[in-house]
Amino acid sequence: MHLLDWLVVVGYLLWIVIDGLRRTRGATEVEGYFLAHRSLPWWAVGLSVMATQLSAITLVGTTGQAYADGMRFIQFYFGLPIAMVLLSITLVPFFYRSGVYTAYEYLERRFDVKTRTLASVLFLTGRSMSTGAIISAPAVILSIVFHWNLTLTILAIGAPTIVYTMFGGVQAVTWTDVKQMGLVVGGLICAVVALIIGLPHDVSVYRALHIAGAAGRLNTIDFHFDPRQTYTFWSGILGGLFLHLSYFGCDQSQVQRYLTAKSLTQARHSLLMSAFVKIPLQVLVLLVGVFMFLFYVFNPPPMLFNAQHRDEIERSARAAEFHTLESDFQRAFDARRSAANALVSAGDDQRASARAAFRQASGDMRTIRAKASALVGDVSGGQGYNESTGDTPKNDVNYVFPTFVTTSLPPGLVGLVIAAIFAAAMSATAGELSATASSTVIDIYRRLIKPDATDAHYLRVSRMATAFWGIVACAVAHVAVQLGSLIEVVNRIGSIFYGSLLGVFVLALTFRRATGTGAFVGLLSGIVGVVIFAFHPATRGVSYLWHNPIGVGVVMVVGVVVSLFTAPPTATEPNRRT
Amino acid sequence: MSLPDAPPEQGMGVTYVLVLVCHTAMIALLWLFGRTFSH
Repeated sequence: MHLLDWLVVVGYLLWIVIDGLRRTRGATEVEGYFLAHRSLPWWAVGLSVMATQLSAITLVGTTGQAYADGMRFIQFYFGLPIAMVLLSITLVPFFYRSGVYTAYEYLERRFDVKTRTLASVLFLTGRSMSTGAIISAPAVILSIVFHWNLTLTILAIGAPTIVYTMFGGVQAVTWTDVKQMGLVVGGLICAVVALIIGLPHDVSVYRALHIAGAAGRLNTIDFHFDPRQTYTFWSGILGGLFLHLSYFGCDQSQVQRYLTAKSLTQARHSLLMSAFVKIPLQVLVLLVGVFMFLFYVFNPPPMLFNAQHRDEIERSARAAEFHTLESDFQRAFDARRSAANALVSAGDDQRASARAAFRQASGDMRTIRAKASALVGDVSGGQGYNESTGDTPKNDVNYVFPTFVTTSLPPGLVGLVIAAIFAAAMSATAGELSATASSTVIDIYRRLIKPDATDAHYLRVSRMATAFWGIVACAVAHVAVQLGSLIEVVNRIGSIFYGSLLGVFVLALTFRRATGTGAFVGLLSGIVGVVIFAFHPATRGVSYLWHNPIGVGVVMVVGVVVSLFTAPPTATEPNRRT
Repeated sequence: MSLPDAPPEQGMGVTYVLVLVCHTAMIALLWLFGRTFSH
């Protein structure tokens, strides 16, 4: 990396830590530390909500996905704006007016302590694992692309985040999120501009988009109903609705964000900001992938983007086979570039045949890449391969964006985009650390272990909890790299909890007769039901987006039935304060 | 507190309608964008 790029990346890291530490003044009480004294403006909270959701996995993985598969991933977000409206009407006012610190605190007020504790433990288990994945995914990619030490890369992301979150609390998290979102969006816009400038002079953006369309990269909406497909209109608008209701309504990492807003109206506005901005932002991310595809239509791409894979094959007995594939790939690239030029200059009567020729040439390149990926799998040998990198040939696309950045952008801009990848990872991690610390201290420590300590004591414990979860996240990131496919299992387990957690909140809001025992048994039943659905051979192939509505359904049915057979709540019970 | 106890919404109705209208328009635009360049 060029000296200028190093200066940009190191300058960013120093600036963000110093800026975060400046917020320590507002974090002298627990309420200031976890809720910023409910003083933040809606736009800052709204940007923080989006920054927590947008991790480096989104930035690197989604651009790679659009490069290889096009823009249909956008359908995943179709349920989000509807979820934001429903939450603004229902859960947000309940959380905000009841003065809670965590989403799960509300469950004790409505039900009982065991339901609150179970929900909190589920959240802490899932989030501690996923925060490790948020750090490990970009760390693995950056360490391979730049030949950096992996442990140091994990620490470069994790350590500054722990420092400013631990001392500055949620104020530091929110205000650094604002700047980090600016950096991420700025990096994306620079990448799009550089990609458009990189097109041949005789190819306009309009013509280039026709090439992307011919290769199927601009298929945005699929109206076919197939529960096995994750990215269709129906799975996005229905499955995605339940997923986003769960994430923004029951996950403390998001609930904590909007509890810091100045007023209920501002809390609502902060969520509705995502309803307006999230899909256009995601379109921008996907367009980077589409324009990278176009860039590599006219400029030769590597057959495999992950340099470590290429090196492994070069050292193996099958290097000659790989070189033959590379020659075939080069010829297929030349044919595709010629087909693209023919498509650009084709008249109306020749366009259909030119499109067919381009599609054929693209298919040939894809076939050769698939053979190369299979070769990587053979050489690396399954289990040993995963142990070394945590990678599979399939996610070679995760290296497309970093490869383009490091080989095609000018010095300075490379540093800016790498800083944006760091910013995305750090903002998502910081939000998770503050949320896990708040649930640990408020739902577990203060409620069950030491209820009568001073505010100063809880503040000290809160800082220790933040540091503890930060260290756990870095350790999980390191272990996740060794275990590879475990990340997928962790993500799948996360989707199992989400729907059931939402089910408990829906039960609380819609069924007045619901009891604590009904909610607790319903929550456990929902998790068991979704586990059976997710792993049963007959339903294993159904997309995970449908796990959320199923979890909600099971919790509601079991919760209502058990509530009807248990003693109804009485007005004199001490835990029913609302 | 359960849902029927919640105070009625004040002044947000227009914003909610605006969100849903803009969302529908965004989906229509994305469909049109994909259709224009993919066919």
